[in-house]
Amino acid sequence: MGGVPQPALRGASPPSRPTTPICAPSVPAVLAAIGGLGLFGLSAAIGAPSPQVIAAISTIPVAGLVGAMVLTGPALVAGHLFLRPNVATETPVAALGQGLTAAGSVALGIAPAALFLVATTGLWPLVLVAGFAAVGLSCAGVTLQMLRRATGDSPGFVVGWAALAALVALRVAVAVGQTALEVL
Amino acid sequence: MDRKTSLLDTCAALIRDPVGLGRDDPRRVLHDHGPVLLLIALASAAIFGGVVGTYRGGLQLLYASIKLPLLWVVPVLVTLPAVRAFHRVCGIEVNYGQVALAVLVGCARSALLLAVASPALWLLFSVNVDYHWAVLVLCGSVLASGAVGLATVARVLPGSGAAKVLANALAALAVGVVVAQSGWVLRPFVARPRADVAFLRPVESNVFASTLASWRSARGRYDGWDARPEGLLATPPALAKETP
Repeated sequence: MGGVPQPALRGASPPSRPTTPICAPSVPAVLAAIGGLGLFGLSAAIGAPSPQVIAAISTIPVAGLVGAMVLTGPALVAGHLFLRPNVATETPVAALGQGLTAAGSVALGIAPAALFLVATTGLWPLVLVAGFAAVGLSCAGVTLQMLRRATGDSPGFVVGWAALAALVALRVAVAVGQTALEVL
Repeated sequence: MDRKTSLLDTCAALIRDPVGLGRDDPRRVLHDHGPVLLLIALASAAIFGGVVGTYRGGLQLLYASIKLPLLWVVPVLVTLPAVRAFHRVCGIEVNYGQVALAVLVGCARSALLLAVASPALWLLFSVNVDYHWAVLVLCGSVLASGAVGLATVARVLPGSGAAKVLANALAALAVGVVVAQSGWVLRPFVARPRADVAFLRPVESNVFASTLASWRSARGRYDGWDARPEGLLATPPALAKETP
């Protein structure tokens, strides 16, 4: 055998903590989460000046979060398959799903407060940005927590993945925002 | 148990052991004590509002008595889903019954404390204290009682450790922002003695811009403040000019 390190050997080390299997959320739960993100987006964007801009801006939370998950999810799954052979293949996908449902529930929860602030102030861009940040942090936090429970430790690459996902989410959100400005 | 005894018992429980109210099944407690808790919160806030209204007197007494209970109820209704969502995302499983009970207990306790402290406020207002000081004392009173209410909510809701601290900090942030803006929308509570009495002022600017302007003025930078109509509920400028 050559001197090239084998990924499987690295992953064969026993986890430092007891692990807990993660259940993937049901399809209705995921759809409800996406609905919550859409409702929050609409609540915040309703203060925008025209219906076209409202329609474009309201998709920012869904497009940003789901877009980041779709674009960076494969990297998370591949990273786990490579570095953690003892972890079930479905684990990262289930963790992502749990993160998305958590983000959806937070978005649904803050939607009434966002609507109140948009109705009584002109701060709709700030409400949108702050709410999107809260939703994104919730998603990342729950995903990392779930992966930590499932793998028994906190691999550095997962934190790197979270940073990458955050940047991708921001880029998608900015792209949607630019489209809205062009419409305006 | 007759209604009078029940009211007194609930008041005693609120002051002595609010956590005890949250130990039983939330739905049963809400069924048994919910109306009384709501009555205590609304009546106490109305009493406090009446005392605040004595600064201007006249119709402001009635207006402040109506608006102070709204300041307690509106933010709670608006942020209830957020409080539950923040707890759940921090890994604390709570249902709407638990959150509603905790928030109702917190509201009733904070309003009750304001009501029992209101004679001191009346005494202060009765000696013609400066308008700005009157506003500051009102804000301080609401802040103090709000902190008591939020601490009560945190104690009644389940959970422990860093997750509970984080969930309650997020909930306090959300409730604080909405209470501050609700207070701005529902102003004036303390009207100047010679000012015209109005139930509500037009929806304009926001509490954060107003606080920033006050902060600049306090530091000696009087560069003006343009309170323009903002938000979906604001009257458009053209219509506002036509309104006498």
